[in-house]
Amino acid sequence: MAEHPLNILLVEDDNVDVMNVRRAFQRAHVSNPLHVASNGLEAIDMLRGDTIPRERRLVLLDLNMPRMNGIEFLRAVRGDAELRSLPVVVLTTSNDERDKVDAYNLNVAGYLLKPVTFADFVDLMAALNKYWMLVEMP
Amino acid sequence: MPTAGLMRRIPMSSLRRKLLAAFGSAALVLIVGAAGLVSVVSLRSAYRSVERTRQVIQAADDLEGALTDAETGQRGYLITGADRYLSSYRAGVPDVATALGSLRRLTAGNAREREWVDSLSLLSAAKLAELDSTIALRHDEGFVAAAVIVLTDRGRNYMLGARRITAELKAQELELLAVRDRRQVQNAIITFLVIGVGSLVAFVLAAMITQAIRVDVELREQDRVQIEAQSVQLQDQTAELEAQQVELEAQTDDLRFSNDDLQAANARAERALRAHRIALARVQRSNEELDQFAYVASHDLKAPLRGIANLATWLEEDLADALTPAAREHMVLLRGRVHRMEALIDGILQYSRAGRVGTDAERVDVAALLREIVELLAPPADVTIVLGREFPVLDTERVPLQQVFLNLITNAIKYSRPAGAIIRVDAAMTDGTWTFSVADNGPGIPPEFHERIFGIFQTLEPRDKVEGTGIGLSVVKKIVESRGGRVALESAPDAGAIFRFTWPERPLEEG
Repeated sequence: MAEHPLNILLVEDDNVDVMNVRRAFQRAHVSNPLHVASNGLEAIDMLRGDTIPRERRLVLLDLNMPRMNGIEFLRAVRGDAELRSLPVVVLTTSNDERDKVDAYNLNVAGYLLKPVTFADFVDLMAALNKYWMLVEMP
Repeated sequence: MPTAGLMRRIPMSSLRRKLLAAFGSAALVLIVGAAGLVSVVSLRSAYRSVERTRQVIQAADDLEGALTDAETGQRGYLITGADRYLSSYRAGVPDVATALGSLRRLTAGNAREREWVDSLSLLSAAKLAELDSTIALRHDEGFVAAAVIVLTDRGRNYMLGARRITAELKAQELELLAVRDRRQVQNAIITFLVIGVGSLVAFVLAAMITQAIRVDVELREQDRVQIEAQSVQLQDQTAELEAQQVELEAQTDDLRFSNDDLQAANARAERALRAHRIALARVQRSNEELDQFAYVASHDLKAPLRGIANLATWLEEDLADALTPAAREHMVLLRGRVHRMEALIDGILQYSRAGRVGTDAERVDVAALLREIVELLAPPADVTIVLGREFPVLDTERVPLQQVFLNLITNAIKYSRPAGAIIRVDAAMTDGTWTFSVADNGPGIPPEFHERIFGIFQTLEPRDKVEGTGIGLSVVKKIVESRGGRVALESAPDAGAIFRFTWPERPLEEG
């Protein structure tokens, strides 16, 4: 099984959560580059621009954010001809049923609740990375 | 029903029979009349026949008489030569012609008699010629010459022939008359029979019809009397009905008035209900907003808390070697407080969701549900959970009922004696509602705290001593009461505690 590098965009407004992801990547020895946007609008700009390589992109998306929240971001992405097929995994503390339904209606590739302990978070990031490294993309 | 009665009493067939009888009677009368007419005609004809016979005989006698008169006159003249005898002779001659004419006329229809009359005519003519010739001879040549002619008996023979024929004619006529009489008698007898029997039968029939009609008339009279009686009865009933209608109309008016009152009252009630509904909707919206607020607030509180926890962990990791034992102890306390705060926030989340009545009712086997909960809790070895013998299968929401049992059993385990805890779960049906109970053999709760323990964030033990947020029982109370049930506590110090709650089978509010 060939592993392919990923271009990961983390859309997250909380700095500590961003640090948490970075630290978890470091702990799990994830070498893939991590790009960060602090809200939906910024994320869309980055995805349309050249800062992130075009191939093998994966978005880790928080839902509660200022300016443009996660669900709004998903709507914008699914309405964009170029970004329509972008794989997005929701990473949130919201256990709300409505958020899950909305997210899956917008074709998310997964919906993950942020684990409470750091150890569990590291495990989750490792599994996530491992899985997506195996996924074939257009 | 009178009409049906009439129909039954005088059936159509009877009527038809009667009509037939009447017709028969009329026909008989006609026959009798016809017979009478025939008889009368026949009688007239017979009379005519008798008259004719009499006339024939008369005419025959007249002829005979005339001839005799003529002969007598001739004899007198022949003997005396006196002219006066010639006058009687001359008087007889036209009478002969007259009688012959009558006879010819009367016998015109009878061939045989006609022949006789023809013979009589010839004989009469011959006789008259002989008489005439003898008279002429007497006149011209005297008595002897005439007597010679007379003595030839030619004249006498003519007379005898004529007498014989007239006799035959009379006999024939009398015979015919006799035959006619016999026939007339037979006819009379037949006519009498027809008229007599026919009249009798017609009379009997007429009498029968009269009787039948009399009976009919009587029946009709009875029916009429009956109908009249019914009519009177009907009129009475109609009058009664009219009276009732008047009464009813009066009542309707009353009702209309009271209806107006009622509508006014109804309108007031509706207004009150509308106001009540609006108020209720406001309260519900307010409650929902509160729940929503609690949910969002707890969610938002959780994010920085997790940040604090993470940062504390990283500090501890990064400064692993530099930390003093006191600092390490503080870090442990910090993590502990963070966890408690997270538990409190989870409690608020749980509580805010407890009132939500959303899921549809389903068939829940309570015994199976309790076994699942015990398995999930995996109680310590020194805790014994005893399930009662009888639990119902309810149509209800599964998740809230599970939450109630889970919280009560968790609570019992948490506050039970350090060793040898026994927890009993039971069910009993009272007044159509199931009451469930969770009993422990723990330290018990003093009566003054029975209300307090159902309040949110209320605990009776220091937080550090027993792991508890004080949310479990308040959630139980909120869930049970939002489903129309009630929660009660029965406990005393050192006597354990029994939590009871009722659980209506159907959710109180639909949807």
